[in-house]
Amino acid sequence: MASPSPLSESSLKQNATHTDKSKINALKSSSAAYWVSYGSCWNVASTSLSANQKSTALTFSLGNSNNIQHSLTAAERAAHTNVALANAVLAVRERRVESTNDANWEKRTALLDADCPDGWRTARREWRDRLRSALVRVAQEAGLPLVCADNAVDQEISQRVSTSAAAVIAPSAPPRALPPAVRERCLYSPAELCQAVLSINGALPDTSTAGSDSQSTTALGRLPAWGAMRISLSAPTIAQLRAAMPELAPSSRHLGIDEHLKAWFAGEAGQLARLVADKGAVSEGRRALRRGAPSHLRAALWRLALATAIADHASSNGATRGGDDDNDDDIHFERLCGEVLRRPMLIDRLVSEEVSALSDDPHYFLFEEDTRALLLAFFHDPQVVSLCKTCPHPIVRESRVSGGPERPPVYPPAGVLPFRGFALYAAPLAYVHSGSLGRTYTLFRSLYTRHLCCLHTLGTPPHPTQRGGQGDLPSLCAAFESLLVERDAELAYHLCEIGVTALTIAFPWIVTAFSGYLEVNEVLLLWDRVIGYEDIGLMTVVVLAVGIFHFRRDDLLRCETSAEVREMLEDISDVLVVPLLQLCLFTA
Amino acid sequence: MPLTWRSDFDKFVVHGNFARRGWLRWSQSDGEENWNVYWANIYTVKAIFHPDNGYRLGDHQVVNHFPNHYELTRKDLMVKNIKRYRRELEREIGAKGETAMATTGGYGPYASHGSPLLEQVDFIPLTFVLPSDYSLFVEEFKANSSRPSSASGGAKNLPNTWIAKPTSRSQGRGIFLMHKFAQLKRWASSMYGVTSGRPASASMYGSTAAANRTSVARETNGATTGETYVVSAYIDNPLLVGGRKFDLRVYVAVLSFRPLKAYIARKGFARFCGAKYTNDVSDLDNSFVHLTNNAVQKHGENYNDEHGNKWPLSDLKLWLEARYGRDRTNRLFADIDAMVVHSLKACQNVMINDKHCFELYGYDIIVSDTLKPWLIEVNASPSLACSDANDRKCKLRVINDTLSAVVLHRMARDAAFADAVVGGGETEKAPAPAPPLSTSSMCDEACSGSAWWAGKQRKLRTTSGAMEHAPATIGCLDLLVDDTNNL
Repeated sequence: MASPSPLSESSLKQNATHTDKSKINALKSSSAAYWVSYGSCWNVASTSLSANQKSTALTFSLGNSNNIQHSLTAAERAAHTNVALANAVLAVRERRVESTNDANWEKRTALLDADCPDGWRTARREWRDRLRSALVRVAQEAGLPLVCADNAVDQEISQRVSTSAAAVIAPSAPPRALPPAVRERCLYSPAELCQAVLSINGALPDTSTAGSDSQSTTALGRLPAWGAMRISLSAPTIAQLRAAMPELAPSSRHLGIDEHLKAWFAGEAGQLARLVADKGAVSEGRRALRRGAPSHLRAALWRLALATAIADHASSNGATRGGDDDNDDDIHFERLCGEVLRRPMLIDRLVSEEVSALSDDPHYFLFEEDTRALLLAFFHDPQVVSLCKTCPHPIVRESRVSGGPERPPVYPPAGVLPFRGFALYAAPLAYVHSGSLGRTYTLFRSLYTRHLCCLHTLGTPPHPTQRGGQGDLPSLCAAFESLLVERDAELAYHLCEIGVTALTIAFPWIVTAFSGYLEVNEVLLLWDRVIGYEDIGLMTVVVLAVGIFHFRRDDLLRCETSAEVREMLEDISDVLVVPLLQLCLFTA
Repeated sequence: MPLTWRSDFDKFVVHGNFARRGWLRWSQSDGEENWNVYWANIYTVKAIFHPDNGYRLGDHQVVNHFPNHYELTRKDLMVKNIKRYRRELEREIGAKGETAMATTGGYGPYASHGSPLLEQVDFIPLTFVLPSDYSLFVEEFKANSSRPSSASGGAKNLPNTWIAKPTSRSQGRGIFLMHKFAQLKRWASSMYGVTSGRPASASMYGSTAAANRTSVARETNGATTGETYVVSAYIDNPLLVGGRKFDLRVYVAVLSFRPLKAYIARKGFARFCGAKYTNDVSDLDNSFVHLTNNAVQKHGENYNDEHGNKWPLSDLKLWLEARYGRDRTNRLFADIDAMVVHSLKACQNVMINDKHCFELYGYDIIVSDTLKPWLIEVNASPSLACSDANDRKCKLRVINDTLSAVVLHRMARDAAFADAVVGGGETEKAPAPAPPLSTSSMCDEACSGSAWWAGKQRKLRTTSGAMEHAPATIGCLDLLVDDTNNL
């Protein structure tokens, strides 16, 4: 391959003579870093395109552009014939937003606060203070500093690191276990998070700029008496979701239901998925996942659809291209595990306790050690902050913890705090075999930073310009309440009448994306769709929650007390995901 | 007229199932013989079929064991039957049969053989019955110990290790591993007085040590007991999950041996050791590493009451598919199906095929790291005790579906039974559907969505009305073999 970037640079200029210079600059400045890092990729793509195609792609991208988003969309469309090019364009488009995500969380928080209504801002500040004091309280009770002084990198440890740090950190008991009093402690539980969401109060500025079709949305969303949310957020209607997720229709075949009905379907789906995985187009990977992944190809499809491999190249400056990804993943993971050994933190103890809870789970008890290594490394990974789609927990700055200049600026380095049930995010990955623990780690990190992080953060209300975006936790909760009313008003009314808040029952399901509540296979089938629908993926979680309520409506309507309702919905482990998604979205 | 049921077991998974169907519980006042379905233990069944008993089962009666079920469920007889079956097959195929002593690549006596059918029948590890095969065993033992430990690859494996089990005990009692000739000699002399060695403080271990020590003591005092043991090549390359060894408990419901008709349950579990597996010789005595029996493991420190170290079969399948691909996983499960069919055929002709009998067997299977299943043993009375909620759900389900299969089977083939069930004159063909199974909520069955597709599937697969064809699935049971129409 030629040296990176001159080709793209020059052809940009050639083909864009008739466009505004400033637009070129805007494009260049916003994504220059990425063009460079994808330079080699771009070259691969360019050499395989004819000159004609090339110019078309770029003229499209510059000539008609009002903003960069559009130009990239156009470029993507023009480049759909070439997989590498398409992937690169897609990656740039998705990363463009993230590039503004400064690792400095204070800047990010300030940014967030700026376009936030008062009630929301207050709720978030309170939540932040609460987390901070919880952290301090745990530290005091445990009698431990937040970060231990650097372990002298003595011979023994470096020895152990060189064998396999993952193997060292995996076994259960951390060197000094937490005092028993703290053992039951977590920074927060889903119930507390639920209270925080419900405490968000106040009206939003009217988002009718979002378009005319949001009329019906807001009409439904503003029935405060029906739900527990005290803020009205725009939420999608069933019709909108149906339109956005046409692949879920019962008329198309799905893994998760049809392979039980037609024995041949599993084989056919496997062949299709194999083709997609081999071809390697990110967008096609996502489309394939919307119908479910065969379990043996799930790792490949997830990696593809999450653009894990591409993202890695961006972060490693495109230094290594080719067959070395696995190796990169493993090296990175081992380095993080070494970091766990070198710099123990208080969070490690909490994480370890969280993971220990898995030993009671019939589905995950065998994978406790792998999950522990994975999560310990995760919380030490400073890249998580910058990769996260939504702002992670606003947390203690490292300077308070007496950090040196070379240390990551946030605490913990990942910027994420563990809570009760966090281990359930990582545990299902044991059933997505991707070759090595390092690869699984990278996959988990992509999954978390792109999707799962939205499930427990009070970010911002969905921005008016981000149409169709799912937003984060409060938006999902609002969507749940409005969808439940729309799907089954009678049931919603009955629950209101007997004083049951449906949201508080569904909340734990939503926070863990049903992990720990359903059979493993069903969780993975649901997550297939979450990844497949990219921006609105988490809506499938909400839809499923509504579907469960709707499906058990006859029994729920007979319930007279809150306790009965809870008992009725306590064990949902027999639920099949796909039929209930279809039931909720596609029945009249 | 509801059926009357009787049970020797005071277990919820049995009672609950009968009660759900609205059947009446037998009581003493009904008279000793007035029951329809009897979930009995093997001693009761033995008594029922004892010729001196003078009692004959009526058309309306079903009992849950075959009179000589031990042909399959006693370790030594199973081995004998399967070896014979194997010889018969060889003769049939005309293949020049090698002897059981042939040197092979695997643990089984026939691993390197050519014929695919014979390969299918190679599913028990090389096994000797002591004391009768003692000299053969010693010969094999010595031959193996002189051979470098290379047979199936590398120093990682345990050289020449054998597992000895008393034929008539269960739950892991009396089982031990041996790998040195001195061990064997010591043990054999104390057990059978084969050679004049000094009395053994034999290498017994774990929770079983005490029991064994007393028996050893008793034996050394007087005459040797001569309890029959089976000694098998130890599978030292088991498939490990999370570093731990497991075996599978697979339920098989046999409705008839001639013609053979059996269902296999797709619900089951893998039973895990509490400690990580190691091929370290010094750990051979640690039963928490090597023995998967729940009765052994539940005394270990890593035993967990929430799940009893049991992993659902469906999870195993998912994990295998992700790791080894769908084809290899399917092949493993197909191999297990084939193994079960062959093991049933092996004792088809010796079994007394009483039409009043059915049986729910619990197969214990170990899977090697090459995904080959090995049959360890077959239990006539798989444990009905439930270690946890999931376990109870699974067993309830299996027993429920077994009862459905039995009732359907008997009604289809036996007008008298059908009359007894539906009270004559009624046109109803099937028993009233049982209410949902779940213990925690009333709507699980409906909510699972599985009900409707199972129903759909059943409708698709069964010919309408006619009962000659057994339903291909009954709940979690899949039809494994049905020779009814081949006769």
